[in-house]
Amino acid sequence: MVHIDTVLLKIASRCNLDCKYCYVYQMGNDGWKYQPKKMNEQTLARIADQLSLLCRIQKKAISVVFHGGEPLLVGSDRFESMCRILRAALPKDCSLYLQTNGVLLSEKIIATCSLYDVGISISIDGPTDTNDQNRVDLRGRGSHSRVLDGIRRLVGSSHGRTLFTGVLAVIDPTSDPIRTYEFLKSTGAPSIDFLYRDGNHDVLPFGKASPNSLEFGKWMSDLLDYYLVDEMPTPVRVLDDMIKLQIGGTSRKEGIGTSEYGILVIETDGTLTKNDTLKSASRLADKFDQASALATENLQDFLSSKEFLEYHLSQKPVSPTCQACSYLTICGGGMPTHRFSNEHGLSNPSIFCADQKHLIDRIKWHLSRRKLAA
Amino acid sequence: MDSAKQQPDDKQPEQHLEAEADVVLDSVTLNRLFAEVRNGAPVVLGAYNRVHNRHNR
Repeated sequence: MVHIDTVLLKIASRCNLDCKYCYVYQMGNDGWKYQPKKMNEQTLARIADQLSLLCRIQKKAISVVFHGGEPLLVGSDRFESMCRILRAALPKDCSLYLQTNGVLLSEKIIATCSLYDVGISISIDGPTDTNDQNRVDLRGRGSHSRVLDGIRRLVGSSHGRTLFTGVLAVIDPTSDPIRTYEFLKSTGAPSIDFLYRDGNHDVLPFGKASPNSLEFGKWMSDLLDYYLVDEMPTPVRVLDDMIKLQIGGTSRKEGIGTSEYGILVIETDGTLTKNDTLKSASRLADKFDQASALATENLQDFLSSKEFLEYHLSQKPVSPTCQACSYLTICGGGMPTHRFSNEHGLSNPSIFCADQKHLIDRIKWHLSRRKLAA
Repeated sequence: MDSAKQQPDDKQPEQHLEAEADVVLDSVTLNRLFAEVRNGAPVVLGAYNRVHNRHNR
């Protein structure tokens, strides 16, 4: 039985920003157009019941992440109702999280998150010039000042600091990693997540010249060098995970290491889809053959189905190159969508393979220069 | 920040560097990570952490 760890709940299918690299809207997949704009409460209530049953059966808690699009487009009243429904249905040790661009993070939303114990993660790419290169609204205007206002409301509220889980930044390899890191620290975020740009072997990520180029690996290595001498660091979780894997620990974040990670993605209309970042691969890459509407079907049956089990296994790196690679236990093969090609499906190394090796080598160098015993 | 990037030696077989009990390093981050690995549970400073969010997008 696949243990589900995380449920990505796309409560809104639209977004109030128009980020240029977005895997949902900018990479050729128009599935969002066929989704209702907001998840209705009846659909959510049925989902909540199914998730509650899932937790009882697997005897493990889950994290439910309000996602999208921009989840706060459901409005503050419906958001409050959704939190209430989920908290009433789920076991107490389940977590709720909100992944938001921060623009609509009002005092009322923050109060709701406080009442229902919802952790808040905010997407922002760095200082104004870095962020506003790509994170623009539907009129092409930069979003930075509005996002920062949301962050300030959060950290300024009485419970905000305990709810703030961190910031999430997509790497611009032409930017200064130190300046980016220092800015993200200055937001007061307790942790920082960095993501590579989405792309694959057929459509290279923006900023990557070739599969063998090292723009992202060098960016991360420069960040690593600074991070390890920073006397007041803010945890950078992807680096922490990779370092811990080198020193006998385990990873947490999706796409790093070889830990099991059961994730469910539920669309706004209640249907289950595959890993939603696969939208950047092809139009149907995130769709199951069997149209499974969680609103009407039994989740347990679906999780036990051959199709789901095959999909779950396909999330692991399957290419012979990865299987034979000495870096696999740390790299983990990266995010599945980065391994895609039309020719070989997911059976490729990551498009960031060279970058990952570069970064892992740099981590090893840092550890070995400190003469740490093996 | 090191200004001269040294290249690693020949690629060694994968090694896991064990977290020794009394290692004190010249890095706040490395000290924290070694402590987390030794203690077997992540110490997440200030971050909301009931079931630590793992999603990465």
